[in-house]
Amino acid sequence: MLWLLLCLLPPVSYGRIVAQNNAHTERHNHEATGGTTTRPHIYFCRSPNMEDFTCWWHPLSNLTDGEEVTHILTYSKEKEAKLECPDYVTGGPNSCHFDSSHTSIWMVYCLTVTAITTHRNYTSKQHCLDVAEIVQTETPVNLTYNLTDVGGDEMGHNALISWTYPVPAHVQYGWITLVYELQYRRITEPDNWKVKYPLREPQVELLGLPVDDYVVRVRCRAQHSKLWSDWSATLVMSIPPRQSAGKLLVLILVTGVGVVALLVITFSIVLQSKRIKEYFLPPIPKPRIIGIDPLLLKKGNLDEINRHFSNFHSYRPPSYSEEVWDHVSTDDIYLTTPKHSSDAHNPSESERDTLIVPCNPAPLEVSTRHQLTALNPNSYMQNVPPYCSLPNKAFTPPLSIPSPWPMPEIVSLPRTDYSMMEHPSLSNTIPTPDLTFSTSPSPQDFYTCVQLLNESGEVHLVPCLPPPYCREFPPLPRANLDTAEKEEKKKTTNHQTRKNDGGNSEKSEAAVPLLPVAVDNSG
Amino acid sequence: MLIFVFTFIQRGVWGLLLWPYILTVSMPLDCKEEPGSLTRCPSISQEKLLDRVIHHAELIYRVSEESCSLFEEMFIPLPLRLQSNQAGFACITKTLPIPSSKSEIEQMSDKWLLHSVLMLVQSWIEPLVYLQTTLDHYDHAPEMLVNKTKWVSEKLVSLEQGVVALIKKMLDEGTFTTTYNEQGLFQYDTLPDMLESVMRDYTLLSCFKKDAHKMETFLKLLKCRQADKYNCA
Repeated sequence: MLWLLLCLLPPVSYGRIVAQNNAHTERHNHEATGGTTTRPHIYFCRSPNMEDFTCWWHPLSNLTDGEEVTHILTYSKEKEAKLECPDYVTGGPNSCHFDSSHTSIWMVYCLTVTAITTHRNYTSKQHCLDVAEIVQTETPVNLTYNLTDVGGDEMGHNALISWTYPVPAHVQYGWITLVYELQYRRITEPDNWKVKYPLREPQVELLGLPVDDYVVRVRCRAQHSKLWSDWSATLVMSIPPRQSAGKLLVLILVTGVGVVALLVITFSIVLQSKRIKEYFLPPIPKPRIIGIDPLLLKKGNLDEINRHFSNFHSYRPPSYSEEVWDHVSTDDIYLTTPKHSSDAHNPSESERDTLIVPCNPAPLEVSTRHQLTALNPNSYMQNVPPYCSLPNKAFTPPLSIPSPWPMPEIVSLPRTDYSMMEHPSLSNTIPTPDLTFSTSPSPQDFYTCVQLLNESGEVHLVPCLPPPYCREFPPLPRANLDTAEKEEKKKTTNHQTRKNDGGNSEKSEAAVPLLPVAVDNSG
Repeated sequence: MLIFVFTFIQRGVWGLLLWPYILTVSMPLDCKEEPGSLTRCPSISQEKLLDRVIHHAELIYRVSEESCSLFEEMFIPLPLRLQSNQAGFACITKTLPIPSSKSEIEQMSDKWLLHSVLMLVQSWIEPLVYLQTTLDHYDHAPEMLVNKTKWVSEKLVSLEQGVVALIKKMLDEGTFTTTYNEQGLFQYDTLPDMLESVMRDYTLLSCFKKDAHKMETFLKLLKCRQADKYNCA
């Protein structure tokens, strides 16, 4: 039997003690055993800060109608005399409040409540307490949460939950040390509370919360006491879904910045392209004549140029016609001679055509000319400008050259409006100067012109004449010739550059426009 | 008859087995003061008393240290700040027969430890009250300093009660509340010079800080001796 009772010990221990105490007080008060409402009963005492405390009791309920009853609480501290409650008001009805001057943590308080009615007094059972043991702290307030990582990660969000203790004076100076407990659960799981305990700070960070809505609550207690405070007001915390837009935004920002940077660099390169090109490919310096502004020549204002050049002895201003420079190389000659040799002695339309055709500075020919000029600077021929009154402009078919010369022709330049009557007579005078000058060395000597081309393909080269100042005979002093040649070079290059479309002006400048005077008929 | 015996045995068993429950939970306890009653009012155990007293002493020392440094920062110019052994004004408790060297303290008995603590506490209650009033006269004493001083003086009174209760418990001696609360330790005369009175207050605070530390040390030594008599330093 006793063993059975021992086994039942834990569940019924409290009930049994109450029953025992009731049995004790019954003997003293001559009351029948019954419920606790037949006499007052101190049911709860609490101290929020270990400096004062309050006790509440249940009043006498078994009253007959119209009966008045007053309750008196008496207490004693260990063995001292009984004293009455100092304050019935502060704690509300049926309460007794002990302020700090009446509170001592060094002694046990024993309290009793007596209900005084007209008939008799009902005394409650004694309630003893140790003030430090009944400390029940205030409930934490201001429960808030903050999501600490906005972007979120694979595990979900982190949340920093914080709260405050409502009466900081209780915990200042370390008088009471608080311990917190936090519980949270998903809204959808009503019983699955997760616990965070013990917490010393009024905040905690929950890591890796999956996306969901949560309910959070917190409570606290004094470290040396066992009584927990009430649960705080619950906080509903919702973890939002992962913001992938955040990462997208980052990506967009990065690409935008990169594109802008690229654009800036590109623009700077484009604007500075000339300088960059000069740095990597330094330009070849152009030949200059001291005293003459190359820009002047480039601009081609003939009045000014004439003015500048007029102090040269044998300078004649050129006519305002476009010169047709027909660069012919030996290859060209080779190519064309078979064609024209058959027609050498038949000055026909075809010859004229052939004569005229090379005057046409077709772009292809120009380019080939220039190329070949570069290759064979010594073997090109040029058309005689019409003002030279040389009948033929083309020396391409050297065999055909002599024949058309004596004939006056009306030559029209394909690209200009000029047509001229060519006098062959004058042309015959040309070779002589050529011959006279062939012996004298001139700066142009390194340029040779094809005098005639044999049928077998031999090329007779003669030094080229100075520039075609063909109105006068060129028994000019050599120095003058040189300068004249130079000036003519400049002029003709100027003309040539004017004439030639597009580039390759440098090459034409380098090339010396000379008048080939290979007019021998001797073929 | 059998039922009576059975209930008696049952009560005894319950009493024996459930005695810890009665002690640890704030259940209604029997506390009869009528003579002839078998039961006595339970009182707070000695260990708990000692723990609470030490808790008091620790807090008092910490807060007095903070108050002293606050006062020093606010009111004392640098060259006048007291080092540990300087004495413009002597500590008021110099006259008390309280040992200060480590060897002397180790040789003190528990009884003397407790009595020394009580002497110190009782001799400091009045000066702290005085200090509270003088701080109100300062022009711009920070509120924190005033609050701290007030708190310390309140807790010192509480500490005195605790030490008395502890002495009663440990040494089974009667109450003697005002044995050491003698006059002559502290004079109230107001000094005319502002700097002089400030220096006196500063001396008060720093002496109290030292004595609070002494109290804490004594009590901790006492606690240590409770646990292990021969291994305490």
